[in-house]
Amino acid sequence: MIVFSQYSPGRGERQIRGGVRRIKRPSGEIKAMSSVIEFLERLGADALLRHATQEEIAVALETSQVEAEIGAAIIARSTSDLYALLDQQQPMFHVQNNPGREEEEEEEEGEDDEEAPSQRKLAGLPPARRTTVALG
Amino acid sequence: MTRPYPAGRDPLTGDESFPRDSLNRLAGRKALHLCCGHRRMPPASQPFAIMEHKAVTSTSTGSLACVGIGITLGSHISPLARSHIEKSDVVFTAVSDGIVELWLKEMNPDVRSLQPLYAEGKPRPQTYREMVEAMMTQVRAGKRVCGVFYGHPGVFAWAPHRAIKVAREEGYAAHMEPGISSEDCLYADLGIDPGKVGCQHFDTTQFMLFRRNVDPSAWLILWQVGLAGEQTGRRFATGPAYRQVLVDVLVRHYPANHEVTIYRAATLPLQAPRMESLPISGLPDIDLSMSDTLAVPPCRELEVDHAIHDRLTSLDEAFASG
Repeated sequence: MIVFSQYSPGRGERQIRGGVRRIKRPSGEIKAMSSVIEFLERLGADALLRHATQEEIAVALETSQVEAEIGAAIIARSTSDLYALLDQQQPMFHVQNNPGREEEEEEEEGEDDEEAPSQRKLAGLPPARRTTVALG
Repeated sequence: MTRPYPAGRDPLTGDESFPRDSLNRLAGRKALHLCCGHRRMPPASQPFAIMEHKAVTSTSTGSLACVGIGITLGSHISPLARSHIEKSDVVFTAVSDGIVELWLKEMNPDVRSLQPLYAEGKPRPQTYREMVEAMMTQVRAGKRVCGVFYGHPGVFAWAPHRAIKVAREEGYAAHMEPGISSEDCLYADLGIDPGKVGCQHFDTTQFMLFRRNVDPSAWLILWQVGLAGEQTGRRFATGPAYRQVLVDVLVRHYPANHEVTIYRAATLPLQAPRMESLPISGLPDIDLSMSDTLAVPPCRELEVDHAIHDRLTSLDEAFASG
């Protein structure tokens, strides 16, 4: 168990800046992860913590089960360090629409469906290009 | 052309017991259309897909709830959305942050990320249709299914609307629970009241491709500005040359030095929102992600319609005189 009085925000930052390493927890992994998630949820839901100072967050962390390095990343508000420590560095895709184009793709597959022509078809535009274009 | 998945394997989990009819629907064009709500019916030679659906529908208790969990972890989720997540048999997630996924996994033992359906170069509409199919496969299996989407599940999100439509067409209970969206966060963080002078919202690429009646006396909010001009449906970002085209469209209505704001809401409670001001002409020179939004303030005063004003005044006078 981590005793949070052992670290100050400044010391925690130095630990992180010394090189982020992913925390490996072959045993007790679920419990450790739960502690971090529980604290983040509390940080988001508690009116006294949501916009708290670094010192106030450090005090709150002292009564949690969050590991020291992760606690330091939270205090430093370092999202990149937190992702690294929790092994969450893979890209997350979250574009969830393609306005007016989902119907167009269906039309191309359905060939002659005229019930709901796409915006592009209504506007006289050609179908979207199927080739990948280099970033401009 | 839709590529068939390996026989007997769930494209999300690798589960070898993935239902055969679902594989057929994923792999077969006609069947895929039917399951995703496409209006074309399969030809008379392939009626089996319809027959299977009717048979399942008559005996199944499956249901679907698409819920929004808001933008910021812990801050925005509603009691009802949390209850849907906790009480469902299967939970599918389409969220914007890996830590948010970890949070959701604490709420239900069977949480399945829809992230594996995305891929660079893969048509996004195909990804969205596969999201629908993944959820509907479990609904058809009689499961109580929850689709969890970041923000509001019905705002700039195709799969939740379509999944609910398909589920209802097949006779299952399905509905949407709203969530706090990026738009809601934008109003709070940027201090904008959309009722003050009005507010127009567009997808950035659609705004560029189509001539819109832009009102420069109202706010203009352009979503997905990091994908400005993205026509292929296969990419998750464009670059400066595309944004220069956006600048050229905007300067039809605004001065090039008009100050705008790049906005990104906080996903984790330790983050601060991005609120970066710059002139319109500077848009090609900044870094943008798929999470960023462009807020353009009005550049003109509201213009009074004197004829309408006079008519309303006459009505007021008539009302006051009894």
